[in-house]
Amino acid sequence: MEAIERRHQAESRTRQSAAGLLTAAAIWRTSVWSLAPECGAACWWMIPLCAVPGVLMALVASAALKCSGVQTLPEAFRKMLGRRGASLWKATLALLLLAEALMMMTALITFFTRGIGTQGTPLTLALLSGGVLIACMHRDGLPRGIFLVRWVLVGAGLIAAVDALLMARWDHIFPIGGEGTEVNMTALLSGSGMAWPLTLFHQEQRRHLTKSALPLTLAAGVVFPVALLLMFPHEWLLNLQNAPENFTAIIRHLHPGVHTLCQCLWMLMLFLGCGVSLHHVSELADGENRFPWLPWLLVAVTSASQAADACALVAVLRPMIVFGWMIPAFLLLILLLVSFFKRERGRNGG
Amino acid sequence: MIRRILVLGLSALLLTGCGPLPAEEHAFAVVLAVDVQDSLWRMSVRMPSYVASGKYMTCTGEGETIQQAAAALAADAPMPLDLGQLRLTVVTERLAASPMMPEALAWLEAREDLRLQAVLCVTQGDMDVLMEASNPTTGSRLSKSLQVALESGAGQGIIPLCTLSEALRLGERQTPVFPLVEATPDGKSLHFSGGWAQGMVFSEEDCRCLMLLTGAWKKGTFPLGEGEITLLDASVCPQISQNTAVVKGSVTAATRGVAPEEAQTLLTEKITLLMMDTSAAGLDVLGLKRQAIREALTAAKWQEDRWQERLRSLNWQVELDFLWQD
Amino acid sequence: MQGKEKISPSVNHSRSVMHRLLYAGKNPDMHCRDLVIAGREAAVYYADGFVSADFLQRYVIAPCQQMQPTDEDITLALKENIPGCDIVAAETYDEAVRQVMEGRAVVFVEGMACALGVDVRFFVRRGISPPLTERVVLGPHQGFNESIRDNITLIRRMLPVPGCIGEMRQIGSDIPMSLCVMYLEDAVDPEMLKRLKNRLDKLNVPHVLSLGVLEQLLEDRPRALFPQSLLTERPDRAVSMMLEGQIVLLLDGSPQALVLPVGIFHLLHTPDDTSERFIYGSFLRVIRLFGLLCALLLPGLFAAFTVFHPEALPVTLLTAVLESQAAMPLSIPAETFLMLMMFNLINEAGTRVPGIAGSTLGTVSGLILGQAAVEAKLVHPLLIIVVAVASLGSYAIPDYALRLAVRLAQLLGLAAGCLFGLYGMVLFCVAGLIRLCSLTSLGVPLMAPLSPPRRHHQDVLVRGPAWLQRPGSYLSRRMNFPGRMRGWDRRRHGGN
Repeated sequence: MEAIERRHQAESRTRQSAAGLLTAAAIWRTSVWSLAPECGAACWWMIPLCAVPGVLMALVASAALKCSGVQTLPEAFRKMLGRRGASLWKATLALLLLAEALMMMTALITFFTRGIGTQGTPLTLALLSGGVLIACMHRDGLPRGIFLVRWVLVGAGLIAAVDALLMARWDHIFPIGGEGTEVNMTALLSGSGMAWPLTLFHQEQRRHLTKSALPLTLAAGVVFPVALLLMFPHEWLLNLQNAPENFTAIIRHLHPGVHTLCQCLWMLMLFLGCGVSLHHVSELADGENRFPWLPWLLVAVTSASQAADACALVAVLRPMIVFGWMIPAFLLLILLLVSFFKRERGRNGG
Repeated sequence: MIRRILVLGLSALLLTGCGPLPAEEHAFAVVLAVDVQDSLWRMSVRMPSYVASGKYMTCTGEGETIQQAAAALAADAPMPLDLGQLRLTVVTERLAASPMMPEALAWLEAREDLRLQAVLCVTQGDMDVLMEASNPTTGSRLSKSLQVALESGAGQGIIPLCTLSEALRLGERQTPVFPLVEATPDGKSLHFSGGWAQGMVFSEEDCRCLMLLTGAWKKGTFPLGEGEITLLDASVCPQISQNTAVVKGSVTAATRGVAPEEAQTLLTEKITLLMMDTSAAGLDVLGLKRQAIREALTAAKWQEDRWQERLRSLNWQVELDFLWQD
Repeated sequence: MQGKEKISPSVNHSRSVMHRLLYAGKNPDMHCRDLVIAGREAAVYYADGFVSADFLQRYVIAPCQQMQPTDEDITLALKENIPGCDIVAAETYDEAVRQVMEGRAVVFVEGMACALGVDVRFFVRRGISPPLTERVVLGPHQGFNESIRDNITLIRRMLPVPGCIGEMRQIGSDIPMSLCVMYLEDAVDPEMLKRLKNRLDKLNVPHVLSLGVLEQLLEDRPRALFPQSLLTERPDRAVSMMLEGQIVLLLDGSPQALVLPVGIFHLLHTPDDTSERFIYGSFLRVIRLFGLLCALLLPGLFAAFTVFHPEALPVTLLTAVLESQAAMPLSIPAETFLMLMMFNLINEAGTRVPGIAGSTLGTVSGLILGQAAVEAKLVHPLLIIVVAVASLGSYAIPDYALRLAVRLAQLLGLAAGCLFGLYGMVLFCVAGLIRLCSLTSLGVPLMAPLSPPRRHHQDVLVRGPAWLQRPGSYLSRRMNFPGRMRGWDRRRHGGN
């Protein structure tokens, strides 16, 4: 039994690393895509600040699990809010993850066509990515693969961050207020949901959670974009477009070898982030694996979406993510309150 | 089975339309020069001729806008132009001093295949002569030859090294000083000496002072008066407070042919005069604005601060501690 | 139907059945010696070349001829008089035929309702010689041969404990071959053993002539590119794997052992790593891993960078490549593919040509063809170096199956790099890694203990010191070994 429990814990660690990668990729994407052109020099504290709601969500989830006395969030929802509550939770999470997957794919294809400059239409490249994603959508293989390369990714990110910091100047953190309070509030709104995938850690058994997983994820997610953006002064950052091309524009200033490394790292993060999102969607939609074709369908939909104009796609998806994360946050809050009151009632009654 | 068919089918589909141009069918430029005269843009590139090893060729294009000039240049090149191996970007003094310089910089930055780590230089001479003089002096590779020359100049403190990336990332916080480059009198190679910033030319001695003050040059020989100073170590930090700029720090040096006290006086005077001239011309070559910006909480506040007026009226003081060694 | 018939007490009837079943009219090496045993008619069947004539004469025929008539049960009497150490009774003619084909002398006696098979086996077989494909610098130089009995003996000599179990079974419905399932009772995971036995029981094959075939019949995913089991010629390697809880299969006629389950890292280990000091062993493992990565990625990366991302190369290197490439008739991807196929051809030709000529052929072909290709301006020199390094990297892989897998994957990587550049290489690496992580060997993930993480002593990528190598592994059920191995060393960490 002990051996079986250890094996389950090992598999859980791999799934936690997948959730961590998705969180880091989401933070990087939002930081470079949206926050940098809006906040400018204020990025270095806005990025950690925007990660706070995601952390709070994870903490609320953890507290709710403790109060409800179960191991995973779906179980908690089922116990406290019934089957409908659990279904609602799964549905909102699945839709949000699908939107994340589409955003990651859009960012990937845009980066690939604009940043790398390979010839080929976006749809062709999306079909290539989709074809490889199909081969990668293995229930156990994907998280294990991410777990295996996690330190490679962290190492590559560290090299890039160090190179960026060597070119950074201390005054790039000024003016601390950026463009002013109004702009910062708008940026906070658009970036506040970027760390919401931290909640996925609590889809795992609570007793299997590695204590260092969340802090390490946050560190990796926040340090890298901050280090990159410290290379540039406020006035340069404001000239960035609010677009996926920002990452290309930023990493071009790194040394050539590190630039290539960063390109590979970014491609990997987006590709794997897309895969992890779709993986979670298929698990949420079909936990018993009754429809083995579901992952392929999701990949096909994600790839086919690239036939649409990237700007239009982003315009639709961004509000979904920016506001969509509030629904699961609200559900978690309800879960916490219900669990707390039921526990108190149980204690008083007992 | 279905999965395999899917993957194979997709792979077959994807094999169309993704073939790149082979590398040997690209023209990799090593030097790029840009000039503008009477609203006519001119661009030239210097690149290896793959027909004969060690030989280089020049291509030129002209146009009424920089984009047209670039298109004409691309048409003149024997193969599709690739700026990914650029080592030197040269702009003429005419262009650098004109209001069209930001447009040129913006175009260079927007060009996605351009290597931003290429050093950005200014030339006071003719662009065509300069390009023809871009030949290797070390070995058979121009890129290596340029690298050696630039590093040698920077090591001696006679030129500032400023890459395109650095120039773009200085923003409004520092005035970039570009190295000056000219063709040698025999027209066979390039010579780097001195600096240029917004119309002001810096001699080799001025460059040494600037490099010393920015911390880019800490060791080397500095001709001074009848003799010379050999710098062994330096730690210099210019600071600004209200309308006074103070150059503080320590310098470890040895003298030859000049007494230490005299050397100290000469150097201090030189630095003071140089900084007064530069700040009076509105050039913030030391990046003092980086310190001033701390005082502003937001960008709006910062823009209200009349920095240019403040810079031009700065009083300069040099308070360096000299440690003389035999 | 006659084969399944119970043996008749009538020797004449048995003779006619055995003659028919053994095709004695057509097989001159199937012999029948008629004799009288204890006053009764008898016949001894044996196969020429399978038995020792001397043993047969001295320990079967002579004692039988000397038997006096007796009232005792003839079967018991025979067993008492024949000094053979292994006498097995056959109840049916099929069993009797099988025993003859195993090399026993099968005795039929009038009035005996069974036949007795006496072990007088003496096969012509190869002696114990060094393994052909798994050479080491230090360590034993014994290899398996085609005799299952010798192979079992080699293993038992290295594991002289009763817990070293060797279960025998027959495999193949038409042509049964002896298969031995060997494992260490204390170390093996019962669940894994049960899974393997279940697979063996449910095999439905007419015959299995080699372990390679059995490997394909037992693997979790036989269509996958990477192997999920290990074939070894070395008894010491088989024994070290049994100590880690793995199961070894020996098949009569195959000079290898099949080991299940394995992790991908087992395929990169050699006995040299254990025999040498841990620092040297670890260094060699790192070299091998580097070789594997070079073999897998170098050609693809070279093509990707020169074709798609020349700006990432140093300009000196790039100019050298482009200057020579300008005169070549083929593109870099085509040249790379051509050179890789040429190296594979040289390698295959060198393997097929016997003896010393094979290695000479490989060396000479490589030198001459490579040089000629450069001088004819078909390929440029840097490409030769890239392909040579990649090929050398593949030769550094100890496991033959993994080496072939890497060579195939190399071509896929080349295609990815040529078609899609760095992005293609990234996707290739990611997809390959994920597929590798999804593979299992007898249900155990192939990339364990790295992913998913499992408890294991320091012997995965690098080898830790010998005193930190605890018996057992993540594959076995025995992980605890209290106490210090270097008990004489009073220092805190036992010598660190």
